[in-house]
Amino acid sequence: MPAPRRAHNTLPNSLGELELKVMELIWSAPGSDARRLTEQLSIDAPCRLTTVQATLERLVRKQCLEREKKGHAYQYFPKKSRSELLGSMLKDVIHLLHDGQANTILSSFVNVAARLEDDALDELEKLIQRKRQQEKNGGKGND
Amino acid sequence: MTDSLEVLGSFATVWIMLWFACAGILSLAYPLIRAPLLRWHPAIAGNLLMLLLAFPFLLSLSSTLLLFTSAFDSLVSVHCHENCAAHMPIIATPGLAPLGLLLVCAILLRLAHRLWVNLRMSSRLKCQLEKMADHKPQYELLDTDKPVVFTLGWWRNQIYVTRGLQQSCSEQDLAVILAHENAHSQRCDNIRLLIAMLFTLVLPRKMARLLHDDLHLMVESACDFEAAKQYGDLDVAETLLKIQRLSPLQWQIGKQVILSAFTGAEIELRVKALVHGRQKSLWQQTGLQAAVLALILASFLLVDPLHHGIEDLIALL
Repeated sequence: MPAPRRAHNTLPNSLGELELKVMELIWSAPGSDARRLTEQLSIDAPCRLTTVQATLERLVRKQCLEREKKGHAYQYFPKKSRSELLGSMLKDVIHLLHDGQANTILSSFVNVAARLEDDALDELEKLIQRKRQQEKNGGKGND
Repeated sequence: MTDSLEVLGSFATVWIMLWFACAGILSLAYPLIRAPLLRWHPAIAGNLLMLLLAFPFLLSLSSTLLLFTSAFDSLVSVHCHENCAAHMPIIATPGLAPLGLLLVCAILLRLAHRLWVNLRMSSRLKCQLEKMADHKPQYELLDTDKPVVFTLGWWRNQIYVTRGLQQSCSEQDLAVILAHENAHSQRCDNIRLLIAMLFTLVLPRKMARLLHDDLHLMVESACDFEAAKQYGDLDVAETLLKIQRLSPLQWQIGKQVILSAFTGAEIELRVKALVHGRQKSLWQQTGLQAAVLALILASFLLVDPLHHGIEDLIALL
């Protein structure tokens, strides 16, 4: 069984609300700089340039963005696509299910962390077919 | 001030000792009743197991409350110490009562910490997934090829289905899955599992794990039977197998490989329960009511022996 992870490290791929908003803007307009992003974010709620710069810095550190210097400002480009980021988040979900520590917040239809060989699954399928056959015949044989 | 600290400390010490003692009894008794319990209808068995898990906490708390409430002095047989007035069993041994109080505070802090960690994890995941998902009438669709479906949250549960899963199963399969996941929401299963986790904190780790796994199996199986009311036992069993087949033995995510960590015993038991059927019998339901009555009765009956036992213990110390 994988080693249990510490509580603070249970969602290593998680992004904050502002980080996600910034990612959305950069996916729709790659190459934006901090000033332009601040203007766009300020449409919904007041936002400071320094806050956006710090957020961009974090996203670069988290390998979600890469940047190129153009003149005095950095331009930011997505390093992860929307689907890749979602895949990373799902990795957290699967990790949590593997650790067994998240089944108080997550319930999955089948345990994606469970290992059941094809042979065992075949046997169970045969069991279902036998039961179906019995029901068709109206009999009650032993399983 | 000192008096009330003594009473509070004595209360905490008695409660904690009794809680641990009851937890020990549960650890010894559970292996004996486990096999028949797993053959019961999972909805009733799950409720009974919840009650069993709550038993050490509730019984110890209720008995200790009765013991330290003057209105229930009549539950203790008449006896005299220095004078013959009604009295509480106050622990006067230096350091013992404050130690009990500290221990209770430590356990309560641990409970609060666990609760906070889970709450934070749940809200962070939910907040992110909500922003990344496409809203569908009955679920949120996640645009990734990994075949996964899960329910997230405690009160307002949300079902998440990935595009990978949606494309790999039929409409009927998806309907079965949603019926199962909706049953989780209606039964508030994630809250159940959370409460169970809190109740098992004082149990040995191995026993807590066993109880939690069994409860998880019962909860999942109960939702299978809820889905089976609409789609039939065998159709639900077939969907379970189909979705399990979609789960790879190892997950390749980016450069990282996550190996499947658990045996598929749970899925096997769930499928067999659906195939063989589980009936809610009258005596199973009666058994559940009897267990509740026994808990209430035991709380009252324990007061007298507990009072004298603690006084003997104080005399020994």
